[in-house]
Amino acid sequence: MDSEYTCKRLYCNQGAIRSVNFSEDGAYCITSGSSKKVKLWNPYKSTCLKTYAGHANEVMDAVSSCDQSQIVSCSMDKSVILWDVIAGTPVRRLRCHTGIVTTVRFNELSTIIVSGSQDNSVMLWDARSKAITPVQVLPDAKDSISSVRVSDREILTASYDGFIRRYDIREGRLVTDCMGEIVTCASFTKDNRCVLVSCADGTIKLIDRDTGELLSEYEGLKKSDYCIESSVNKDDNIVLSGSSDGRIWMWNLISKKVHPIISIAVHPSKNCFLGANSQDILLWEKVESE
Amino acid sequence: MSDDDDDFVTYGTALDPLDEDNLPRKKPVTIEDQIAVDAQGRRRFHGAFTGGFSAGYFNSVGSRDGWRPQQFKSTRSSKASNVTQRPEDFMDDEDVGEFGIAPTAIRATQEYSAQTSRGTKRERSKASSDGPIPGTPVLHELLKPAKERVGVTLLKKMGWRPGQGVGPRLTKKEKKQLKHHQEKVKVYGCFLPSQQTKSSGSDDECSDDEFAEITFAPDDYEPYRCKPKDNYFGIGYSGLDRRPVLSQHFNLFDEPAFKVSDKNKKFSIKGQAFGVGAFEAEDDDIYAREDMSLYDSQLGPEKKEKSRWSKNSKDTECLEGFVKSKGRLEGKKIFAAPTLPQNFDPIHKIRKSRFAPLPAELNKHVQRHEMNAESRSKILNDDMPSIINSQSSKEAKSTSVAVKVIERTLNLHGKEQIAARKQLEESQPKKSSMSWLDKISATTFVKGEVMGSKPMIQGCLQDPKTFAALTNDNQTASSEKNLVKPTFADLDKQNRFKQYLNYTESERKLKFGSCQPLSMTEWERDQEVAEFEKAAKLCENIDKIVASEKENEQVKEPEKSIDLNKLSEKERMLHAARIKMFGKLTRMDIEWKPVKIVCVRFNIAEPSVGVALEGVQKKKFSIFDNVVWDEMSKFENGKSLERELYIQPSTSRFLSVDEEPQKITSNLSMPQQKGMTDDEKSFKDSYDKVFGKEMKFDNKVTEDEKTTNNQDNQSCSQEKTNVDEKMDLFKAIFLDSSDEDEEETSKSENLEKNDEKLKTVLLGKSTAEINVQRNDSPPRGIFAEIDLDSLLKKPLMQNTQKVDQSVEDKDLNEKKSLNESKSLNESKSTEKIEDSSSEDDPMDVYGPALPKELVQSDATSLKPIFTKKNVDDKLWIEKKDKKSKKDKKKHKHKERSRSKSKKSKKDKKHKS
Repeated sequence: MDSEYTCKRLYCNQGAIRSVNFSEDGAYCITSGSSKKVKLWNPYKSTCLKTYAGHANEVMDAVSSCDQSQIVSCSMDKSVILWDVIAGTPVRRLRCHTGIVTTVRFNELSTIIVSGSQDNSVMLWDARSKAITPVQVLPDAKDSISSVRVSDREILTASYDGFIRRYDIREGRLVTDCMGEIVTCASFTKDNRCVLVSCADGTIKLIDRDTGELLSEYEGLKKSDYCIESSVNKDDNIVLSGSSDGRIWMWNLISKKVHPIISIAVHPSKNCFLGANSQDILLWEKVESE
Repeated sequence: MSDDDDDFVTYGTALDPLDEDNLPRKKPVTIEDQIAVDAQGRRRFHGAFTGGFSAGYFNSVGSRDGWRPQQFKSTRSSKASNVTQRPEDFMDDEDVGEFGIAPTAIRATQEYSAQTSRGTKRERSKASSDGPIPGTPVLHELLKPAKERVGVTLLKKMGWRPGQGVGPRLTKKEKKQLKHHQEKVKVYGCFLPSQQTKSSGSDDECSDDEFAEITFAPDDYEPYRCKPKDNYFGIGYSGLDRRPVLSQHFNLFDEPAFKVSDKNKKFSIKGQAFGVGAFEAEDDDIYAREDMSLYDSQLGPEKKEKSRWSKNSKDTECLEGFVKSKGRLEGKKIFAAPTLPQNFDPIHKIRKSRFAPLPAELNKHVQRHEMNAESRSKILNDDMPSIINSQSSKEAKSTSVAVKVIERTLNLHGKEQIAARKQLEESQPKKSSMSWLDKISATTFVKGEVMGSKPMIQGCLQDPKTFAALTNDNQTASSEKNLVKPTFADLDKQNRFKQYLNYTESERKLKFGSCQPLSMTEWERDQEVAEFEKAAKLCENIDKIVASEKENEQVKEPEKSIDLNKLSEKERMLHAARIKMFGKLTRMDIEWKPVKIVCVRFNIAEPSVGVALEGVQKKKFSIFDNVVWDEMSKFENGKSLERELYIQPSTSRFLSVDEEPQKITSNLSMPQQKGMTDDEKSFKDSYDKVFGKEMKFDNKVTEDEKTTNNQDNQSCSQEKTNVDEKMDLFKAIFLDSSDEDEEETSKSENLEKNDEKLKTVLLGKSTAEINVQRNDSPPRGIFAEIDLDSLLKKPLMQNTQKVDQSVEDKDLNEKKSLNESKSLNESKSTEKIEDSSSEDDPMDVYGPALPKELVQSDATSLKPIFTKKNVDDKLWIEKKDKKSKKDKKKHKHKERSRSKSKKSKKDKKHKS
């Protein structure tokens, strides 16, 4: 089964990009950069749709709501801003964090904003109300929060203290799993049965959600100081991770093998090249925009 | 045929031809429209809502509005007669009429009337069709069958049947006799006697012949009376009489039930004759009335009543209303159980197939039989001294601690104190063997001294060996192996775990069972063992890591086990994560409550709604919270008293003296100002305000005096007085009351002694040096903050001040006595003089004044200023600013009393 990955390159003119996220339906993507701006893109057409400026410092993370009418971003200025997508103006500024807000997420219905910060706390904000204080603070982490993920009934936080915490709202329980290493990212798999955990020691662990047991471990990454994200693809068969060496690592979820790229072909005229992954061909194409 | 018309002959008048258009429709009257009407054409029956049965104004009763109540009217002229209403008053005339409901006319009842048919149904005309003449035959109507006479019907009702005889049963003999008797009877009338006999004789014979087929009269039928069951008792049970006992009429003068006549003398026995014997049980029927008639008074077999009815009832032992069945019920046949084959095993073993061999024998069921005496005795709690003792000692330990402390704190003046002190002195050299128990006792104060250390308190450890073993276990476990012990919430469990660790692998299974309390079930035991096994393994793993870490640090801290215990949870998790044992080891599952709004926003039902939030209950502070038993002994070598007094158990770290003597001294000597938290400081300040600052440091008294002088006089002096009061209170509590008595009796001796004491104190020797018995350990609990030593020392300084004062006071008092009689203003002025003259502001010293005599003696004594004897006759000095007319009166009164007291004092002086 051959498949093809095409690679486009977008120049964002945003300084160092701290995070990139697809919008809810995947039609757009949102980048947050060190230039204190959030940008909305159509990555397929390589066009910048909107720029949202208002943060006082580097933007760390930005995601869109489920109806794509709002964007929430967090920044080093310790604030979380809720943006109106069309107007491009901030709807609300939420500043109760006492540290850099590293990550932010909407819940499934985009009614709650979950933000994680370097002040070791996770705050839940009501996106519907005009209250400027968080609805709930989750102060359990002992070190800064590296990632937050929200499923339909759970909030998954990863912290530098080496723990991932899963707040089950339906059960009313907090399940803490010790990873033994700084956790840079923790995310649910698509089937919501496992948790993919990136550790700072370069390993990515697949943890069973219910038992906390280690299902598999993906190695090969170098130990780095970056807070690198990881995820599984939509079919739950490939584990993807960024890396400090500038590559995207892909593992087969089950065989734990890195897909080696053996063959490389460079486009004769365009700035484009092909790579042959085990069963796929990757087409990387540099697309200059702006 | 036109002629035909003429031929007809018409009879009668013809009806009017029907008008077809106006043909009245014949409507059958429906049932509901049918109305019963009386003779006058009025409606006879009314519905329930229209007045009921033939009632109302339109009939003959009542008024238009309905029933009119009877009016009572009585005047002098016409007295109201007592009218009794009869049912006829409410009835219409028609009801009384022939066809009414209550006809008044006399007529035969149905029974006696000629009508045969009782029922309301008309007799069916039958067999009318077979005859040639239709209709009921005339003869049938004319000839009616003769009816039974009334007597016959009555007899029939009584059970007589036609063909049976009537009357009592007679034998032929009796009959003859009866005949004879009849013959004798005089006959009136025109009968000839001969004829009569003849006829009678023939009658007799014929009657015999005639009634040959006639049977005897039936037995008198006693009708069975069915008692309706009107209660809820069981069948045959008659409950207690519901009527109250006293409501029954007791005839005291009842005729005696038992009468014995003997030689013309009548003895009568009454009531319960013989009572209840020793071997009898009374109260079978407590409400039964005992009567002599119930007893047999004659020897011989019981007479049996000869009655058919009675016989029946007596024979059967049935309940009332039941009859004993004649036929026997067939009993169930019970078969004997089959004999088991000899090699029968009561446990079923499942084979895989019929031909498969039996599976290996399960040992479980054998366990029960394989138990030996030892294990059985374990379960039976028989002869297990070691376990039981150790348990009991544990219990004793836990109880005795609390009990002792309470005893000690409460019984300060009791004999126990003396005894305890004696014990103390005896056991003083054994100081090294101090345990945590002494530390508790150390919180008690006697005579202003801290109780010294005490070794084991008697009785609390009946089995010292076991205790020693226990403590040894602790030590060995911690020192030799230096194991990191996971903590168990249960203290006993913790101990058990320690013991478990002490045993070697092989020993564990055998010996550990004996350590577990008997209250545990087998399952619990197994569980615990499994748990311990796991924990031990984990411990070993962690120990290795910790040991390796420790090698680098090379810091030997036996106490660190506590910290490690706290860390162990996390450490364990980390370790587990390191060895990639993700799962239960790395997982913590805690209760967490999302805020309601979060649940709403997530569209999720709120978990645990209605469950009360587990409030973080603040632990009640108890003295024992801060007492860590093992560490207690580290304080025994504390040196200077002053230093120790400032140590708070809560702030001080428990460190071993041997290893870190430097630290401890620094720690101990560290004044509170440094280590104090804000709370403590604020508390200190408030405390100082209340108790006076100069209490704290004796060497600072002079400084304090200066400061007090500088400060506002009034407030300061007030504080001082407060201090004095407090001191008195403490003295009253902690000082021996005997001192006061001594003072009275042998003052001169005391003076000398006190002199010496004062000297020693003034020279600067601390009381700690004087008191060997003093407990060096810091006060804790409620005593932590109270500076008791300063309390003891303070009076000295105060007294010395007072000595100076007293001289002045003496003069002042004399002045006062003069002034007080004059005016309020003047008295004030004198007191102003006082103010200026006295250093310590006696102006604000109110209450009973110091007697002179005492003042003099106080110059040299260490004793409290106020003693009992002077309370009665003291001069009362009121506070300056609170003077009123009332006070004036008081003063006058006091003056008078004072003059008396002066005299008495002088007398006393002479005596002494």
